[in-house]
Amino acid sequence: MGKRATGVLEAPSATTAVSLDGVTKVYGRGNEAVHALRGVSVDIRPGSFTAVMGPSGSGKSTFLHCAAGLDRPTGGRVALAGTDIAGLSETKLTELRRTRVGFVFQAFNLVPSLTAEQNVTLPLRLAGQRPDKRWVHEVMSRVGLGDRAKHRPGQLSGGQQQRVAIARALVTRPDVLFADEPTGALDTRTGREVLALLREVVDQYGHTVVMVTHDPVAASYADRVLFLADGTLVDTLEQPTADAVADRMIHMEG
Amino acid sequence: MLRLALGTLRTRIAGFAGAFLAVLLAAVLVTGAGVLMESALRAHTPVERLDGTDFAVAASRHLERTPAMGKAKDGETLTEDAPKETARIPADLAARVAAVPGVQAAVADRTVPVVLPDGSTVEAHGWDSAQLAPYRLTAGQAPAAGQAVLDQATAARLGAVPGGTVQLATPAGARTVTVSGIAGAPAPAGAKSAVFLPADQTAALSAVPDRADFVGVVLAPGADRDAVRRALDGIVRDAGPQFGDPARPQPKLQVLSGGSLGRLEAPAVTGMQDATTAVASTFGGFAATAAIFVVAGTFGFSVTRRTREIGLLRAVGATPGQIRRMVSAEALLVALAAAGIGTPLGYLFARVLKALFGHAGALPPGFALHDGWIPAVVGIGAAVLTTQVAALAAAFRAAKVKPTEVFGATPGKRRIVVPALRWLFGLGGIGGGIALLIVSLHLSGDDGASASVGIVFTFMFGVGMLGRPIARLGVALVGRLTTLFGGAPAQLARANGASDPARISAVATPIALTVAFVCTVLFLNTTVATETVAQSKARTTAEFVVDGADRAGLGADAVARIAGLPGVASASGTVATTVLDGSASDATVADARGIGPETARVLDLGVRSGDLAQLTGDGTVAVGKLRADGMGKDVGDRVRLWLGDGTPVSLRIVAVYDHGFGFGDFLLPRDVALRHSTVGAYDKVYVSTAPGADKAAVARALAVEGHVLDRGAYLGEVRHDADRDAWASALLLGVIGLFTAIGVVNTMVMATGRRGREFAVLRLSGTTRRQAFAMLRHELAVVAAIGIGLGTAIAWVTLGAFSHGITGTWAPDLPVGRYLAVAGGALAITYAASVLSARTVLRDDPVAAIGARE
Repeated sequence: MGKRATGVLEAPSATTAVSLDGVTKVYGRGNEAVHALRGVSVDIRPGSFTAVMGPSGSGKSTFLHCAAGLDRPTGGRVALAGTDIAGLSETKLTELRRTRVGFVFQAFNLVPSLTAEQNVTLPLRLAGQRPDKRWVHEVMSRVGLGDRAKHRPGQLSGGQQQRVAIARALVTRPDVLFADEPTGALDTRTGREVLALLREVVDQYGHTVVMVTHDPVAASYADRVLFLADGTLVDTLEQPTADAVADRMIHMEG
Repeated sequence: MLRLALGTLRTRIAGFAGAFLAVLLAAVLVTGAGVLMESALRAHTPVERLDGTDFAVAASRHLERTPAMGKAKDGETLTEDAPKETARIPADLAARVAAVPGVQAAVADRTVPVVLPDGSTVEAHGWDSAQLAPYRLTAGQAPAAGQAVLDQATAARLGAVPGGTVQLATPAGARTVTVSGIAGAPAPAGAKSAVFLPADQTAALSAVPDRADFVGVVLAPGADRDAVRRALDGIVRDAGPQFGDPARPQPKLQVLSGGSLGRLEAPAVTGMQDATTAVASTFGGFAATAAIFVVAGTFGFSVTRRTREIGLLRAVGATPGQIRRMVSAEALLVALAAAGIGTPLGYLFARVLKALFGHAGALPPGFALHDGWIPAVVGIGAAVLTTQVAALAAAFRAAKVKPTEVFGATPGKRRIVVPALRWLFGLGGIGGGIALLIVSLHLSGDDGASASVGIVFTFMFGVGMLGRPIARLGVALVGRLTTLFGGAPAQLARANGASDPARISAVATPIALTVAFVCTVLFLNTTVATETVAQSKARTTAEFVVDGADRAGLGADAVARIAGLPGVASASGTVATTVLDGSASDATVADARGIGPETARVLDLGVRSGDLAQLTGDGTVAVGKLRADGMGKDVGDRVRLWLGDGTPVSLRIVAVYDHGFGFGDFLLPRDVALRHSTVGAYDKVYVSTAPGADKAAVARALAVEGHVLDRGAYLGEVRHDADRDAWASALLLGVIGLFTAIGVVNTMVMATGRRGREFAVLRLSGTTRRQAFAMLRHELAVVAAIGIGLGTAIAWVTLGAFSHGITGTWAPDLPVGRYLAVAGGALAITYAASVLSARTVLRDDPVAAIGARE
């Protein structure tokens, strides 16, 4: 890793884990242009659990991609752990993501040819680090998969695969863990277990979680819910309950 | 990255099977060709007859700078193309060498081929050459005039004893000699048959009595080798250029010793080695190139299929560079695995090649394979290098995958745009092909043939680059036709082709390239053969042709005897030789003939301008029309050439003629040809009969002199000889076919396998298996039509230009039967691949398939 990357790692602990300031995102050009985000500003506090909700087409996935540094905004500013991602090369951005951010997707989280443990240690290996065995084991245990390390994704259930994904997201001790519909492909019970696990990593280990969902029950596990509609932030709800979230959603869509 | 690559390979082994097979095949071929090449290069002709020789002064085998040309510029080298005929050196050098202190004997050696009564051809030498082995008399005495000494084995075979007589056929005619003695030599010289004549007799039989093949040196006991060597080097330096104009490149005198003496014993073998090396390197080079195409296709598909997985890796922290290295690592692993199996097999394949080459008479007798380690290194290196080069594009494409592509469909569908670079290279390739084509319109013979291969490759490159737009165009054209009578499946097929030109081009391009290449190589030969026969027919007015190939050539006395036969109107002998044409840095060998003034009575050379009667003396030449046009010369102009032995000459064109093909682009006065050829004899004597002569009686009388063919049989032999060259191309074509089959099957299987979900949708929406197959067949028809059509077009244009070069008209010879076989073969491969891939896809349960993720 270059000098600059080391500098990134040693950046003073920011007061916000993620900060978006007037972020816009436009896909395509001219008449076909799609304005996915129309100026979104939000700060995510460290150690918080935030849910992002909105009807389909509201721009919540785009919000996640931009906030996580997977995609670059058309306008505005995104700062990850205090570092502005504008002007970072693709490689530097990847290195920043690798150390500061963890991901859990709805599906297709794991590399099919690698075992659960190899999937978990993948970000470390990509960063050229030798995984600390005890730490890896601890992370695997935290998600309840201590005994499944040698299994391949094909041999694991959907819920177990999501746990592996969460373990992989945590293994780099990231500033933020982004989850994109993490329970979307799971049955209700397994989904609850995964949500409880996300809640746990915030409460017990002080991680920061940002989760996109369209499920009010899932959103109710969060400390705060952000509501997106048509590319803008329209509402927030602190300490939400499932009913309150559902209520807001019905009003938004109506 | 290696672990990731290994994991990917382990779970997706089927996807890489095509690349693996292609690299394996390439490794086998490159290693095999490498073994053959190393063996050819190492196969120093063993020193046998000259085992007792310390040094030899001889001419070098290449055109070299002379002192008169001044100092060589940095890095300047002269032509690699060696004169084909033996360059003879002045015999009087022997006297100067003999005067060097420490030299016991200096022998001016000449080789004269003679045929013994049992039909075997052996070398005759002067008796003074016996000491070069050394041969010693075991019975009888040294030969005097009209006498000969035989070696022990030959004498035993012929049952000859001193005092008996033996009939020898020599280039100057038959001789009856008395055996004066029997000689023996210690091994290894003793293994060779030898006939020794009086020294002045070999000189008399030679076309150039004042020149010798080389001067062999035997040192006196206790002589200072180094001092003698220095003295010999001095003599060579002082003598200077020995071949005409000292200001032009020519063979140079040099001093040989040890193993390099071998080439003096069998100059023809050295030529065969050059040919073997050239064929083997073409072969290996082509295999590596073909593998690149297949591997590039495989890895391209592999990356496209894994877009989501690569997106995932990017999302969890893989940099673009790491993704690129992962693909390269996959390629490396495939290469190493394939080379690991292919390289050992290559050593076995070398045996097959040896048998094939040997069967075609392209290997010197006693050629042995040398299993060194270099071909293995070259084979593994080629495997690694080709896969790395081939995977490069795929690796860069993979590195461009965005992390968001892990979510499947990317927002804002990416357009399939042919990047500007592809257009640039593609149009450049096609433009370059056309430019080469125009240039080659005036090239004839070998130049034209090699230019044609270049043209095809250039076109193939261009078409390969522009595969997608060409496929789009082809689908629009061919698809319109198939929809006319195909119903719903045809409509689907057309829509599929139009929406995914990349897939169509991926399959159609290799087919086009194969058809183009196979047709060009195959029909280049038939075009040449047809033209050779046509011109031979037009040229040969003689009724009989006497071939002296098995008689050590035909001498002037034979022609005189033939001319004197009752019923013979005229007879003329020709001398087969070569000249080198071109500049010093790229002179190429061209066929030439030595003829006499009476030749016009038995051969109609189709003289356009000038007069063949003026072809006398040292400074004249006649040039074939197309060659003359190519050089921009006409009657009265001077051309600078090298004669077959490397002697630089400047000749005045006295005639330009039409019917040179299969005979020679240059005609020389017979004496000049004789003096500058290895064999100083006629290759053929053409005979025309007087009106009303008894032809059967003439044929019987001619049979005494050599192998007699009537005009029809002679033309048949011309056709047979012209076809014989095809074996090397057949070998090459077989390999191309294999690679294409692998490439096409692989691409089809991958391309169809990717469509599992599409097929599931079709079947769930009411498409029957039959209809799905029908749709695939229609797609296949489009692909095959584009591929075969394009390939044929390239081949036709290329062959047309080649044909223009040799005949002056745009008339490539495409025999319908063979062309249909090529096209049918291409179609069969495509069809087999398509059915194979469809079977696997349609076997799956559609409900399961539609739910399955990639």
